[in-house]
Amino acid sequence: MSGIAATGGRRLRESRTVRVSASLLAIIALAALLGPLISPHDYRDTDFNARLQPPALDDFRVFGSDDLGRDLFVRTMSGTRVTLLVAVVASFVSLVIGVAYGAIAGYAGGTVDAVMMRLVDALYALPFIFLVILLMVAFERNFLLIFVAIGAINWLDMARIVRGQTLALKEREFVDAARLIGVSPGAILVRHITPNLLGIVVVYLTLTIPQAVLVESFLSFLGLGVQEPATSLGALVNNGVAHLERAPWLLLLPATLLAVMLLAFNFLGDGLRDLLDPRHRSQ
Amino acid sequence: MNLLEVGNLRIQYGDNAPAVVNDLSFSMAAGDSLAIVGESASGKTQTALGIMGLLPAHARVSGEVLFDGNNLLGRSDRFLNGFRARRIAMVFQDPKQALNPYLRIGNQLSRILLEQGIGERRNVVKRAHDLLRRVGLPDVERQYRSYAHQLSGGMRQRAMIAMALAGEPELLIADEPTTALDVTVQAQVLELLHELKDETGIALLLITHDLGVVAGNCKRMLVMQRGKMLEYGATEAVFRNPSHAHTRAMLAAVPRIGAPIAVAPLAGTAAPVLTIDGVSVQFADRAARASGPASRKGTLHALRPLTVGVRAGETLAIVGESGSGKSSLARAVLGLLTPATGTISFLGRPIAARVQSRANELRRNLQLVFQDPVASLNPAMRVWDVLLEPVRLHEPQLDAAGYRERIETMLERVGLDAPLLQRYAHELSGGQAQRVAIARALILEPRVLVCDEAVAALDGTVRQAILDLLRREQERSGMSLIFITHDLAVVRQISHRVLVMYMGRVCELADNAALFAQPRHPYTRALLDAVPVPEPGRERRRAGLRGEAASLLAPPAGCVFHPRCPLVTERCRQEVPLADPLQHHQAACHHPGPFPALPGSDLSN
Repeated sequence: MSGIAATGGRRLRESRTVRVSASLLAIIALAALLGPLISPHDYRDTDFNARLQPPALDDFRVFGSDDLGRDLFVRTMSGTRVTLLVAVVASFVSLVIGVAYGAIAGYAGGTVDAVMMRLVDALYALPFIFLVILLMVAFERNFLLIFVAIGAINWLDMARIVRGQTLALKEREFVDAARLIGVSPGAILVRHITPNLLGIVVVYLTLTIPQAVLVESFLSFLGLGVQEPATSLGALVNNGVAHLERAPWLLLLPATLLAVMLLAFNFLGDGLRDLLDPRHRSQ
Repeated sequence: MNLLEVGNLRIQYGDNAPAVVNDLSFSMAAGDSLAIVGESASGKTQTALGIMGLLPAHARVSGEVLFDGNNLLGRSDRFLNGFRARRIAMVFQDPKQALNPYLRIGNQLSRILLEQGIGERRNVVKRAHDLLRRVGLPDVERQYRSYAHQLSGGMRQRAMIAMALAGEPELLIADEPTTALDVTVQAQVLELLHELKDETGIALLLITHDLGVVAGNCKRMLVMQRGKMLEYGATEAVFRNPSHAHTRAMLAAVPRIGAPIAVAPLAGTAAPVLTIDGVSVQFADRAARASGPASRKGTLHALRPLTVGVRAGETLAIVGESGSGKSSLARAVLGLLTPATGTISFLGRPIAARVQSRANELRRNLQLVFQDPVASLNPAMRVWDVLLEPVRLHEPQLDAAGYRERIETMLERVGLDAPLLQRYAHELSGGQAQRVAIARALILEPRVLVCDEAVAALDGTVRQAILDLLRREQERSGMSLIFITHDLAVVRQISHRVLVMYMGRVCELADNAALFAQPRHPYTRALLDAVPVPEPGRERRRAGLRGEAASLLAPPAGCVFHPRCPLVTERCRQEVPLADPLQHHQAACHHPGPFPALPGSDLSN
């Protein structure tokens, strides 16, 4: 933990935005984890006697059931699991690639930096969503492909941001001091640059996660995401649209959860950015 | 009735934090001049902001601020706007921050005039020109159309003062108005404030950390420490008879040009440890374009070829104002930038230009202490890790106990306690952080230590302790010091030899005693004159130099100093004077002195 992070930790508890959105996300994650265990139903079990039931308390059908008689509560919770997993893993992938790539480009500077960043520019120019759709159509639909696709989009932003920060950091006096002592460039990157990127990276991560959630939902909504009977929030929303007139809860409940989750992530990101802003901290 | 009456002023942030200003009372009559003096965190700036009603909303303020009988505390901006600019005006420390970068100087000025309803629309421009002329800006039509970044530091501060004067206020609050300026420019701005006070009868509340500035400019002074008032009285009385120990310590810590040299003279003629031979530094046109208004395609000559050697145990002071090339020289020596020409030799052997190509053994022998101690420590590292890094790299054979012993011994040498090892840089005071930075450099036992403005950011009393520490360490280890500074009084104390630089060129190189007793370059003479003397009641010296250094991108032909030099002749305008490297006392001047010794005499007469 760095000094900034330690100070940040104290302020974290002081900020209401951060506190509220973080607890909300914790509750959602906990429900997604425990919900399917508590409920007597399984997300795969179909029950043709209980098709399109509205939410009710008896038989623990709190969210009702879908067109195949599957329990919507369990499906929503397991869908949240999938969505969160995809988002977090994909963001983590983009974090590792983006930070390494950006820090190396920024610290090396000169030609290396120019070449590496032009590559990023070129990748930006590719229409990734269409590329992903093409991949999915061409190959077997694969859960892994979703991680790869989303990670591949997000690391570009991360690399740009980290590079910019690194350019500023490497001009700082403590980096000169390390060079004078004889610390190797690799060690300077690991020990002196990266820990000081932590603040901005954490903030940016909380903003990439909702982005990844959206992309996953979008792909699933198009029917290119996870495969039945497994589900995700996007797939559930897609299914809900089909039965909008007869069973609006099939759309409303998963969509509301998705919206709340996205809002919470965005508020968390904004809150963290304010907290870690040095101008804010100095007062 | 008094013009300004501050009674029991108290400013506090948060419930449990100590008050930043505690029970402060003072008063000023019309035309009065009062200095509020204190080190950092003494509450002097908070007091000024409190008077102006500029404190942040979460500050808790009590007491009273009566201006001409009206209480200003806790009033709305609307009420205060009747006083701001029209009756009370303020000049800030950093004019670059205080001026709007998107507005022309003239527009900012006329906007104030119009908003205050002082000028009528048709003669506003003329009024603005008058004001700019009044503060001594040359070529006012051009300055009127300039943006802030197109002016030099001194011109910006003059423009700020013009804006403060626009509303013809009765009270001018100047918060460290000269701290961001070079010493020769500081002298000019102080002179301007003094003149304005005499001519317009404006009252001046000067906030400063510099007792030298107080002595020549204010009749009365008030000393603050940690929000409390320690002294309040006539400047002469406080200087002669300080009642509080902290005031005495502050006064004792003021470096004086006339003070005795504090370093022991060098024995014999040791061979140089470090030789700088014809080293020059240039920046390509891209960097140049970004750095200045007069930029055009070309090369910025930060440092012209320079030759100097440093002997074992010697302290070489390098003195110059901003843009003199002193920091470029330091960075070239340390291998942080590649010199355009010349070689650097260590113990007689030429060494690689870049630090990354130098041998480890060489790296440990050339260390640096930076100006801003907090910035030079990694914010993500504890003091322990900061000190462990160099030892581990250069002495990998030691075990954990060995490292601990080395670090604790070093910590004791720089006067710090072991509990500090667990702290992060931002949890240290400026003085503590600088001690850690010195420890990081000294733990490698370097033969040469470069100090780049190492005490410039420190309070007076702390500065003295750091200088003593450096001197002690030098006596202990016999290392050489290259001490880069803009402060001649510090130079006087700690150096054996002095190199004076101006716009990338050597002006003068001489022994400490010779330089101060008989400076031979007019620029050296002017620098000596520009240092404020901490003795109240002495007659003010006029600022020795007019104008400011030219842009490095468009250096004057001939001697770079000629546009400001009082002794300029035709030859100076055409021919570059060079110092004779064979002489012990070198002066790069066509009309070298010696000029009369200190004090008093005015070069421009």
